[in-house]
Amino acid sequence: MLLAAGLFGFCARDIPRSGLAGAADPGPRALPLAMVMVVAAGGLVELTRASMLRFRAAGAGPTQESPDGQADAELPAPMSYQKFGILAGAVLVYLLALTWLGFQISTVVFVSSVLTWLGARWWSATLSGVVIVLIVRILFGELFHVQLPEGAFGLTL
Amino acid sequence: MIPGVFKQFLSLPWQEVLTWPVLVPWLLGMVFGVFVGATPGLTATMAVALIVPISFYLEPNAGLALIIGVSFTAIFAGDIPATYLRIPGTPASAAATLDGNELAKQGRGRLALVIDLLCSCLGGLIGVVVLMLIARPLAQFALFFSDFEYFWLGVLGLSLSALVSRGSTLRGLIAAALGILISTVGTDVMGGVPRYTFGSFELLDGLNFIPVMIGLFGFAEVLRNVSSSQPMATSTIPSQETGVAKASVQEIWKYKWLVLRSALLGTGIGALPGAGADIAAWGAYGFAKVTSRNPEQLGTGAIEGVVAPTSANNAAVAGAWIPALVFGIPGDAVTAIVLGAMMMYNITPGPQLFESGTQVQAIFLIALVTQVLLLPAGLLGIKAFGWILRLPRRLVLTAVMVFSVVGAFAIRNSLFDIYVMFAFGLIGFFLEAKKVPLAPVILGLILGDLIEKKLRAGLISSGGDLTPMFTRPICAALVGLLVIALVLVPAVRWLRMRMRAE
Repeated sequence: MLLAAGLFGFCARDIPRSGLAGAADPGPRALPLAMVMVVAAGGLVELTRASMLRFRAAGAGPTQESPDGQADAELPAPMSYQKFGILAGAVLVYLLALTWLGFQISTVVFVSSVLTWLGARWWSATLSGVVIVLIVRILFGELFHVQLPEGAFGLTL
Repeated sequence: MIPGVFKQFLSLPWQEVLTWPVLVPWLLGMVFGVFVGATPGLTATMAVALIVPISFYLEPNAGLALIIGVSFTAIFAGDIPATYLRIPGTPASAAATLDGNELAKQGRGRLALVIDLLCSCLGGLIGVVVLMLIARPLAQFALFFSDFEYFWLGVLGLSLSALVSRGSTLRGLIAAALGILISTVGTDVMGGVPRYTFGSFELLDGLNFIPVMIGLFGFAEVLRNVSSSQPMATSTIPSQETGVAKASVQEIWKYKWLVLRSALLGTGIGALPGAGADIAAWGAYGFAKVTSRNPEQLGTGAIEGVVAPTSANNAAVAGAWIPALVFGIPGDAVTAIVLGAMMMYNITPGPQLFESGTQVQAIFLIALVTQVLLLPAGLLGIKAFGWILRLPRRLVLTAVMVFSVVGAFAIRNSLFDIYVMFAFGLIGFFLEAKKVPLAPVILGLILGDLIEKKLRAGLISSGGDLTPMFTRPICAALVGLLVIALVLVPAVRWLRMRMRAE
């Protein structure tokens, strides 16, 4: 939050201060700056709260309450940041591939790779990729006339 | 009041509307509305926009039935992927995602959707009855709203979203502020000054709401699911529900006053120009949380969390017709398109429309019958999407990723929007990991423009004087509600918690 506030605050320097009607108009910079302040102040309060709780926990053992009063039992299941990184990376490569290979080829490759990585057999993963492409093609392409990306080489299945 | 409704009901042109040439396109249009509304990235507005050219080949009543049928059905259908996949099909479904998806995770997705469908029908019916009864006075009241009233209405909506979100209210408020900050990206609404665009042509129009919403709710959910240690070969949601119809009716009976309250609120909000079904749904959800005996349960799979927004969003569609028909001022984008289509049929909205009577009565009847036809069309949609439950999780999650990408792209045929969706998926993942609620971010993004525009326009017209912001009667009432929501309700909650702890 503090990082977001800092970034938005820093970039707000480029926005002109004055508005349409002189002093009566707060101008285009006013709202972003006000929100930056709210986010920064809120972020600082949260940081202080979390630090105080951690400080107390270090002295008095594990606590039953999280900073917002919710029980620790409500915390989400443990996350694998490695899996997150791999998937996010795969999606990014897929998005970049859309520009070059087009929707059909890149989607089949993406779906079959991800499904195989998640434990499916290669032939079932590839078949799933083809079926998903067909469904999207019929639904979006034929029915709603959405021009799906064809890629730089115009490759299709 | 009841004899008035009954009298109007009898005087409706049943014989002109309930004919096969009208009913066939009407039903087909509703099935089309189910599929467009349930497809992430395709909004109710888009559904209506796609159907309008077809409606010109039909006689006026059939064309109007087609358009009205699509608009109501698409709003409901957006709740289907919202419940099963946590991807709101339309912006108006975002509020229904919170508890609907939690219920689906508990294996009660069908129950959530049947309740949703019944509430949509009831909300729509209540909205249409209100439309028939108080169209003129309510639209006249909305005309009393100056810029400052709209500003406070926006602030109130945002504050409610922070209150309704799970966990800390402070984090909800920070999330709302972050949403407003994101809404400032693009050309300044008043002076045309570029903000946070970094020389990018695509950013001049601001960040499109749909890719942001798909990223925050859909893609982030996929990332969270894949990153968790849950097994991937099993089906998405365990569901072998039986006795859903009876249980749904019982639940709705239990929350009948909430249905009525949310529908009336939805109609009122829908009648305000610029405030559509999405704001109505959030408003009703917030109001339900504030008035609930167990507010802490909302967001964890509470039936109230499904009843309130779904009763309100369809009622808002009816509400948006109030200023549209009486004054020719569309309440939202859908009614704006419909008004355009009406002009093509030589139907001019305005007071004279009520003088001649016949056409407006036909519109009322079509809107009423649509709520009844919504039941079979909606059940068909729920059934068609039920097969998803039988598929392995890994397949559903991968398909959701592809649909998120295509949904983001379909809005403007823009690859840039896909990157926006991706970026907000990552942001949503980290925000959720840090227990920052996502709903206020979305509402901040929706209301940011309105809040800024109305505040600045109000200050310019008052010469920079802040006094009218607090002294105008409706402003004072809205500020009072804000104080109740932000100060009194948390104080009462805190006192209750203290008393329970002691």
